[in-house]
Amino acid sequence: MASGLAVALGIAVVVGIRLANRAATQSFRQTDRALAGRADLLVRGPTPISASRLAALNALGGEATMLPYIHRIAFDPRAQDTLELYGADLLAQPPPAAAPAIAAAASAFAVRGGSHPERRAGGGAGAPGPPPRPRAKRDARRRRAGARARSSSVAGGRGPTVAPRASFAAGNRRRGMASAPALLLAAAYARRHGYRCGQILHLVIGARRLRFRIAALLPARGLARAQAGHIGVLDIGALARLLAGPGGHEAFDGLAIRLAPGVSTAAVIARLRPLIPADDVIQPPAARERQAGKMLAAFHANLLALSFVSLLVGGFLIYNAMSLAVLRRREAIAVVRALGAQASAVRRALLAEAALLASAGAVAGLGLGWLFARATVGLLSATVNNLYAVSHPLPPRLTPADIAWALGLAWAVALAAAWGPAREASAITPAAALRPEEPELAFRARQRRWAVLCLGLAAVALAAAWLPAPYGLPVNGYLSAMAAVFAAALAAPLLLRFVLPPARRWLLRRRRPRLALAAASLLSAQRRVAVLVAALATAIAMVVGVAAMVGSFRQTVRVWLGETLQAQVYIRPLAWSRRHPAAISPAMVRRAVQTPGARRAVFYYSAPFLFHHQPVVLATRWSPQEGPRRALLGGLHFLQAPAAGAARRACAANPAGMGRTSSAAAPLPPAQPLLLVSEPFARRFQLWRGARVRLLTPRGPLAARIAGVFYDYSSSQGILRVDAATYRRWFGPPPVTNIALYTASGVTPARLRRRVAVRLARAGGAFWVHDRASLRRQAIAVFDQTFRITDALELIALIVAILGVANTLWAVALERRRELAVLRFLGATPPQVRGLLLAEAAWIGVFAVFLGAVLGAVLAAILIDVVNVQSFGWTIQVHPPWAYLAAALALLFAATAAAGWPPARWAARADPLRAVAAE
Amino acid sequence: MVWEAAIGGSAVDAPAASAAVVAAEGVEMTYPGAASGAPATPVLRGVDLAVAAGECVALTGPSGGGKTTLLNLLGGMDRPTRGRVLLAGQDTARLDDAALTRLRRRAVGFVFQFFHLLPALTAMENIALPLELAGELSAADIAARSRQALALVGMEEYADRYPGRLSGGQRQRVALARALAPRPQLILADEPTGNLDRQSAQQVMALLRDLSRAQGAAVVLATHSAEAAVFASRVLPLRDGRLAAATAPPQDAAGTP
Repeated sequence: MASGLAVALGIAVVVGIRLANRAATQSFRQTDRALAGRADLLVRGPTPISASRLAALNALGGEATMLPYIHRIAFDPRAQDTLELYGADLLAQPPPAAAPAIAAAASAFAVRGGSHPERRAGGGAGAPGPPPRPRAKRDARRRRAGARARSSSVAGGRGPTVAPRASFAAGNRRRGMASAPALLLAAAYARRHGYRCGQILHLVIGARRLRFRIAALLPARGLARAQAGHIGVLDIGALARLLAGPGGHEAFDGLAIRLAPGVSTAAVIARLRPLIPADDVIQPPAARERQAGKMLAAFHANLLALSFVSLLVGGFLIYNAMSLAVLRRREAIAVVRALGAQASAVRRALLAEAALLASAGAVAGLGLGWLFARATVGLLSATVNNLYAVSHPLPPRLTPADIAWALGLAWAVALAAAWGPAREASAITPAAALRPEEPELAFRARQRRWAVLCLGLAAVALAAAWLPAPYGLPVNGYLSAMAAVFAAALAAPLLLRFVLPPARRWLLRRRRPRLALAAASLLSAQRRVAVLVAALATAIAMVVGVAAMVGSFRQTVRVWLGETLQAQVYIRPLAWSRRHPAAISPAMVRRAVQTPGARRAVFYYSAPFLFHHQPVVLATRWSPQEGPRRALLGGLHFLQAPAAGAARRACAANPAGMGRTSSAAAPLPPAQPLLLVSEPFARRFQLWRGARVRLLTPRGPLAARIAGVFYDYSSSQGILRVDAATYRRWFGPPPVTNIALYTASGVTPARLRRRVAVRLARAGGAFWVHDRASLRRQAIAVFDQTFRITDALELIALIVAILGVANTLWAVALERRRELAVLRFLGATPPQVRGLLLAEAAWIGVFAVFLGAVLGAVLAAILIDVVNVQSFGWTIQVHPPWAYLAAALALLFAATAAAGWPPARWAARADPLRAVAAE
Repeated sequence: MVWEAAIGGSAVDAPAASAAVVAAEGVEMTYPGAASGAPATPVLRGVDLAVAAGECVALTGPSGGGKTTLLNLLGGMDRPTRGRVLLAGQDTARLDDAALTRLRRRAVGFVFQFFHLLPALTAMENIALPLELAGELSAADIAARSRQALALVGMEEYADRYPGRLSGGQRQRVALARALAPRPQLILADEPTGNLDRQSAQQVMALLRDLSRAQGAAVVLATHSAEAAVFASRVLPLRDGRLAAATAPPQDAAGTP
C-alpha cells in the first residue's frame, strides 16, 4: 500500500513538474509560434528595424511576402497585471506571417465588435468602427492578385509599411471617433479584470502611460490563447507611431517572411543577407523556438532531475516491498515450484505484480501530478519571468502523451526495482524454502562485491564530475550525482555491518539492552534495513545537498549584491522585461538626474543581443563624471581581472571572497575597445580573458579581445559589456535603460527615492524606483521565490521516504510478531517491546541521517561545482547554512523515529499468546 | 556432574516437595465466541493443581484439551475466568501487567515446541536476553551466567552460532539454557520435544529434568508424547478441560526415569 503511495507521489512530482514546466513556458512559445504563423523565415536584430530599412527588401520581388511585427510588454496599472502587445497587419490576406489567430482576431473584431451596442448605433464617442469594407475587399483583391503575380507586400515602392492600410486607428481618425488607438484584447484578460468593449484602457509601455480603446474581444484561439490570454493586438502602424512618438522614427521588432511556393529558403537567405544589417539574424521560426527551448532547458532539466529523486526513493521502497513479499511467500513459491512452475513463471508473476503496483501508482500519480502542477505553475512561471522572459502560465493540461510517459516511467522504475527480488524468487527451490535465513545470508555473502561496486561507483561519480557538459546540459553532473547516490546505497549495508556489532557490545556494557537488542535485530535483517537506510538517506541527502547549494547561492548573491549595488537609488521603466527592455526618454533622464539631492548619476544600457546566433545580453555603463573605461569597470568583481594595476590591488583587499574587484580603469590603450564578459558568457562560449571575439554591429563586425571576466548572477545567458565610447562608435548612441543615482551628503536614499518617484510621476512617466536596501530585499525575495519549488520537491521526497520507513517498520513488526511475543514470555514489558521497535527506528534514523549528511555534502559539491556551473555558469561560494542543516537533520531524525511509533505501539499491545499460538 | 558444580547445588539441596511453587485453585477458562452471538468456549473447568519445587508434572491429553491454556495461566501469561492461580505465592489476577511481568521475569522460564530463539542473536546472546531485560545483573555477571547455562546444556562450542546454523535438538538445548539462566522457580515447557527426533527428545527431556531438579525448580510440561511424559514425576491427563487423577509415569524400554 505504502509502496503504491510512494510510486504515486513519485510519479505525481515528476508529472507535476513536467506539466508545470510546459505550462510556464508554453505561453511565450505559443506567442512566438502564433506570431510566426505560416512564416518560413523570421528576421530580427538586436535593435529595432527602421521602416526606412525595409524598403531595401524590395529586391526580393515576388519571391516572398513579408510583414513586420512589433512585440511589447505593457503594464496595466488598474489590474496590476502585464499584457503582451502585438502590432501586426491585421487585414493582410492571406496573413503571410501573422498567425491564423490574427486573422481570427480581425474577423472577431468584425463579428463581436460589430455586435457592440455603440457600434450598432453608428458608433459613440470613441467607439471603433468596422474596417472599411470596400477598402478591405479592394485590399484583398489586390493581395490575391499580388500573390498570383508573386509580388511581395513591399512591392510598389511603398515598402512593407502596409499596416496603415488596415489601421483601425486610421479608420477611427477618419471617422473622428477616437484619439485612442483601437486595441483587440483577449477576452480572457477582459473577463479576468472586468473590461468591456469600448472601454478606455490605460497601459504603461516602457515608461510611458498610454491610452487604448478596447475595440473588440478576441476569442481564445491562436495568439489570443497564448500567455493565458494576456494578449492585446494592435494595428502595426498605430503601434509603431505610438512608440516612435511625435517626430520619431517608426521601427519594428522583426519581419516575418513567407516564401512563394518553390522558392528555396537558402536562396532567399543568401539574397537577403547583404540587404540587412550584419547584426540582424535570418532564421526559420523553429530555430527561434529552439533557442527559447534551449534558454530554459537547463532550468527545466534541473527541476526535473530534482523531481526524479522522489521517484528514485519510491524505487528503493518498491525493492524493499517486493523483497519482503518474496520473504513472506518463500514457502508458497517453493510449493508452486514443486508443483511444476517454471522459475521464469515465478519471475514473471512477480514482475507483473510490480507492474500492476506501478500502474495503480501511476494512475493515482497522474491525478496528483496535475494538482501539483496547478499548485506550482505560478511559482515556476514567476521564476521564468524573473530569469528569462515574461510568461503567464496556461492551465496545466494532461495529454495522452503525458499519461503514456508516466506509465512508462512508473513501469520502468517498478520493474527495475523488482527485478532483483523477482530473480531471487525464481531461484527458490522447495528445499530452500526451509531455510528462510538464506536470502539474508546470501546478501551478507555478497558484501565484498557490494564494497567493490561501491568504490567503483564512487570513482564514476568523481570522473563524471570532471567531464564537460554535452549540449550545455549538465548530463554528466546528473550522472555523477546518480553514481554517488547508488554508491551510498551500496555503502549502507557495509555501514551497518561495521558499526552495529561494536555499537551493540558497547551498549551492552553500558547496560542499554533495548538499544543493543535493536542493533542486533537490525543486523540480522541487514538487507531490508540497508535498503531502507539507502532510501531515507537519498531523500535526506537531497534536502542537505539542495539546502547547502541554495544557502551558499543565496549568501553568494547577497555578497554580490552588496558589492555590486554601489549607488543609492535605482530607476528603470515600469513595463520592462529582459526580452523587451525599454529606453528612458532623454527628458526623463534629465529630470531624474536633476532631482535635488542627487549628486552623481550612472547610466546603463542593457538589451538582448545575438552572439554566434545565441541570445546574450549586451550592456554598457557610463557616467558624466567618469571616463567610459572607468565607468564600465564600476561595481564589477572579476574572476579574471582586466590586466594589472588597480584591479589586482583591489582584489587582494576584497574581504568577501568574491574574487578580484576593480574600481579603477584598467590600463588599456584608449583606441582599443574595452570588452568584458560575464562568467556565464565565458563558460557558455568557452571564451576567457584574452580571447578574440567578433560582434556583429550595424556598422559591421567589431573585433575585440576579452579584457576580463566578471562575476554576474543576473543572467545565465551571459553579458557582453563594452565601454560606452565603443558602443557609440559601433552601435550608435546607447539608449538609457537604467539609471543609478548617488545621494548628495545629508540626503538619505529613501528621501532621494521618494523625490525621484514624485518628479518622474509628475512628468507623466511610469517608473520603478528603488533605493539600494529595497532593491536588495526585492532581489533576495525573487531568489527565495525561485527556490520555493525545490522546497516542495524536497518535502515530497522526504514524505515518500518516511512513509517507506513507517511501512517497512510495520511490515517488520508484523513479520516479527512471534519474536516480539517471545520477548513478552521472557519477561519484557509492553513498554520494553515498544522501546525496542522505537530503538530500531532510531537506529535507522541515525544511519540514514549520517549517510544522508555525507551523501548530501557530496551532492552539494556536485550541485555547486558541476551542475550549477554547467547549467548556468555561476560560481557559487560555499556557505552552507549550518544552523538550518543541523535543525533539519534533527527534525528528520525525529521524524524517522516517530515513524516507528505506530508499529511500536501496535507491537506493545499485541497479545503474545495469540502470536505464539499462531504457530 | 558439571551442571551440579556449575549451579552450586544438587538434588539434595532442592526445596521440599510440599512447598508449592505454583497452584491453580478452581481455575476456569472460557474463551468468548469467535463471532458475535456465538457461544463461549469453555476450555478449563475447575482445575485444581499444585506443583512443588523440584517436581516435574506432565500434562497430557488430546489437542484442544486445554494444556497450553493451563500452562499460560500458570505462567501468568493470562488470567483465569474464574478461580485463582498462585504463582510464587502471589495471586496473578491481583497483579497489574507490570507487576505480573516482573513476577514472570523472576519466577518463570518458558520452553516452546518451536524453540523461539531470536534469529538475530547468537546462542549466547539468546541466553543472555532475559537477564538483560531484567536489568538486575552487571554485564559481566550476565555473560558469566549465560556461559554457565550454555555449559549446562553442553553447547559451549556453539556460543557464537546463530539459531539458523543449529540443529533442532541444539536449538532446544539453547532454549532450555535460556529458560534456566534466570534461575526461575518454575519452568513451563509446551511440547518441548514436539519438533525433535527421538534421540534429541530424550536428551532434552533428561536435561530438563536434571537441571530443574538441580536448581530446585518445578517443571510443568504439556506433551502428547508418552516418551516425554516418562521423565515426569506425575502425569496429569487433561480431557475436556478437566484434570483426571494423576497416573504414574509410564516406564520406557530403558527403564527411565
